[in-house]
Amino acid sequence: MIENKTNKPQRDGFWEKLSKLNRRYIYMSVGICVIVPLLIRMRLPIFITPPTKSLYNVVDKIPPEDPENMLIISFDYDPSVMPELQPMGVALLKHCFAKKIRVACMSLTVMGIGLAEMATEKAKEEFPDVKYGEDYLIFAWVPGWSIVILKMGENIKETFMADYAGKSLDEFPIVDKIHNYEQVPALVCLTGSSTYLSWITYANTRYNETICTGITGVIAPEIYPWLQSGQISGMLGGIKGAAEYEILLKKNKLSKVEGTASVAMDPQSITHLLIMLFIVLANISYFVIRRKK
Amino acid sequence: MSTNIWVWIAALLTLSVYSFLYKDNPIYRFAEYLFIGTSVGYSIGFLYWNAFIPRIVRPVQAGDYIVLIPTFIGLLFFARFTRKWTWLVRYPIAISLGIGAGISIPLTIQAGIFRQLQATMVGDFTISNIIMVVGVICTLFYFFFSLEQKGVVGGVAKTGIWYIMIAFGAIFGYTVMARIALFVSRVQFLLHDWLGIIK
Repeated sequence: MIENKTNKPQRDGFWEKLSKLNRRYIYMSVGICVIVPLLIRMRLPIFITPPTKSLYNVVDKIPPEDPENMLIISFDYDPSVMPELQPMGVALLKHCFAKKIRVACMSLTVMGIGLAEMATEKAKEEFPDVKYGEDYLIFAWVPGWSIVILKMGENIKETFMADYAGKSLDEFPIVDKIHNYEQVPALVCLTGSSTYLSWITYANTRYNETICTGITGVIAPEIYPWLQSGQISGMLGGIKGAAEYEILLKKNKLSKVEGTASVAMDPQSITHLLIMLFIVLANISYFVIRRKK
Repeated sequence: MSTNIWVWIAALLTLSVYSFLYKDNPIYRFAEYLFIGTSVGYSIGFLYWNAFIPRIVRPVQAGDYIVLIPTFIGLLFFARFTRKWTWLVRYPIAISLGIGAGISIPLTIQAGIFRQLQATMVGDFTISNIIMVVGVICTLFYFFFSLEQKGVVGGVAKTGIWYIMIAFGAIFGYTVMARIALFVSRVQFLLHDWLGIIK
C-alpha cells in the first residue's frame, strides 16, 4: 500500500505489486526457463567470436605427432566453476586427440588435477585409442604457483618430476624431448581466478610463451585488454566460449558428439531474455512508482 | 533413473542446496557443512600425499637433507599459535615477501604497465582504437583528483564515468551468464545423470 498526497491509503496497482514480487516467483520462472528448453531442444544459433577462433587456430597449428611439440592445458580451477570450465577442457582435449597433438595437463590449484583426470576420461569416450603417456599426460601437482611457472621455463621434467599418480616422468615417452617452453608452442590456462595474470607475467613476459585462456564469465571482461595487447592469444569466455569451441570441432569434423556447453546454450539464451525482461519491468516499475510519489 | 548410489547422493545434495531458495533450513545447512568439511579434508589429504611426502619425506629418506632448511622455515608459521614464540613468524613472512616481491615486481611492471601502455599507444587510426584511447584517457582523468571536475575537466571525467558504466554493464552481463551456467549444469545433471529424462 502507498499513501497519496491526502494521506489516504491507496490500493497497490500493478507496478507496486510487481516491485514487491516475492523472489521465489523469480526463481521459479528462471527454473522453468532452464528446464523447458532442456526438455524441448530449440537449437538456437550460436555464432563464433574472434577470441574463440584465435584460440582454436593456435591449437590447430601445433604440429601433430611431433615429439618436440606439446600443448599444455593448466586446469587452474576448483569444482565451484566446473560447469563453465570443464566443457572447455574436454573440448580442447578432443581437439588434440582428434588432430593427434600431444597434450599435457597440469594444475596450479589443489583441486585441478582431479578435474583434469575427469576431463581426459570424458574426452577419451570419443577417442578410446589415445594412450596415456604417449598421446597425453597429467603432471603431478607441485606447490609454488609462480615459482612453478618460472621453473617450467627452465626445465619442465625437473619441475614436475612425476605424473599425477606418482610415476617418474622418465617412464613416459611423450616428454622425452620436452625440455621447457621452447617445446610448448602454446599453453592454455583454464581459470576462474587471477591465475591467468601469473601466466602472463611469468610465462609470457619472461619467456615469451604463447598464452591462451579459458575463463569464467565473471572475469571474462578483464581479459579483453590482454587480448588487445596480444599478451593473451585467444580466449574462451564462459559457457558461451565453450559452446563455440564445441561447434568449431563439429564444423571441422573433429568431434561427432554434442558437448554439454552446446546443449546448455538454449536454456542460457532463454533465461537471458527473461532476465532482460525483469530488468526492463523493474525499471519501469521504479519510474512509475517514483512519479506517483 | 540412475542406479548409481553416488549419483543419488549428488542429486539429493543438489536438491538440499537449492532448498535454500525457498528458505533457510537444516537440510541446506547440512549440505553446506558437508561441502566445507569434504573440501578441507580433501585438500589436507592431497597436500600430505602430493607435497609433504614427495617433497620432504622422500628426499630426506634419499639423504637430501637440504630440504629440511625450507621445511624448518615453513614450520615457523606455526609459531603464531604460541604466545612465547609468536615473533618467529616474522622470518618466514619476511622471506616469502622478499622472494615474492623480487620475482614479481619487475615482471608485473613490464606486463601490466609497459606492455599495456604500448598497446594503448601503438595502433592504426581505426574507430575502435580511437574509442579505446579516448576511453583510457577519460577514465584516468576521472581518477585524477588534483583538479576540480568542472568545465572541460568535468566533461572529460563524465565521459570517463560513461566508459566505467558501460564496463560495469558488460561485467554484469557476463556475471548473469556465469551464474545461469552453474544452474543449467546442475539441472542437466539432475535430468540426465539422475533421472535420465534427457540425452
